[in-house]
Amino acid sequence: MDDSTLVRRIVDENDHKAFSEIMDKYQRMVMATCRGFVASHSEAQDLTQDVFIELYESLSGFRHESKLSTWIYRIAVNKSLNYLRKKKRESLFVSFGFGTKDRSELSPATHPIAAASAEPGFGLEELEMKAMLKNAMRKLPENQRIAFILSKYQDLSYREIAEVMEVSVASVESLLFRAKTNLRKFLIDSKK
Amino acid sequence: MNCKTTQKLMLQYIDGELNELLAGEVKGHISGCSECYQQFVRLSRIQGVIDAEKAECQFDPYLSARVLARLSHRNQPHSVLLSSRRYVLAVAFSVAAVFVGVLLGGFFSKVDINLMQIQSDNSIELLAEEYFPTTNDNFYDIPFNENDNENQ
Ligand SMILES: [Zn+2]
Repeated sequence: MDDSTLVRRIVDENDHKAFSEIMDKYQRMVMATCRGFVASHSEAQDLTQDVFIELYESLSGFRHESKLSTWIYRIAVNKSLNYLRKKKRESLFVSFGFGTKDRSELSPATHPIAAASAEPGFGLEELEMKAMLKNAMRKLPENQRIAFILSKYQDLSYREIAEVMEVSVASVESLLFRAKTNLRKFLIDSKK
Repeated sequence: MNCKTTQKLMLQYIDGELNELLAGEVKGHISGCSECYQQFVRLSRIQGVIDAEKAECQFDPYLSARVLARLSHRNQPHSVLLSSRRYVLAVAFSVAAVFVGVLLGGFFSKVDINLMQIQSDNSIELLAEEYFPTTNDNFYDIPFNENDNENQ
């Protein structure tokens, strides 16, 4: 069954089986997108559930003009960014002396090194690189980060990224060029 | 090609995004410059980190069931409009309202009973004195019975 038929079944008949089919088809794509934004795999798993909840609730507004995957990518990007903003607010709240300081300072979401070291299968050099890359990515302006993640974690083409971000292909090219230039700068500077 | 230009194009080179001519120049410079070579080795590891993170994202056979369970929980009548935080607030306000209601109810029910007594006894002073005694000292000094008898 194609995506359009599944979506109609979900919207018209509240068909949970159809929605399960959509989730099974797109869950790895959603998880990997979220993974690009957050510091730990468990956060990406939680976000993936939130993305599908939002997808379910927004499907009645889905216009079949664009691809369902484009629609899902947009939700995944927005959910991830909102999650990071919320985390940032919370860590700011903690830094002003409210809440339990030590736990939050070491939480994977606010501290990539804590997240990287919590995951098995990485040597010290990989852990260091992973933490540095996550840190550098967090420093990127939002639209450069989105373009970079969609390109690197999803292997989307410039045209596909342009559709998700609703910008021109030329803008995507420029965003990715600047993202890489900045990342290189952040990564090399942090080593010096 | 100098170090500055080489390093500026490094990530594009690693990602295979340069044309043949530029790629050849970068490659030539890297092979003869230890600083740029080190940077090349270091930045080449980015893709490995990303690939490792992507590899963690395995298919989860229980994900759809978990999401459906959350959805059916959300669709229950009481939780549709109330987010969890609002729900807690709503419960807290309800408890507070009931508590205040009980207090006020107790107060006014007492007043009502007394008002009935007043009507039958025809003595407003009785209530006034009970709640707001004007007489200095002892509550029990007030001669209720005398007044009652006089009015009757
Ligand atoms: Zn050089």
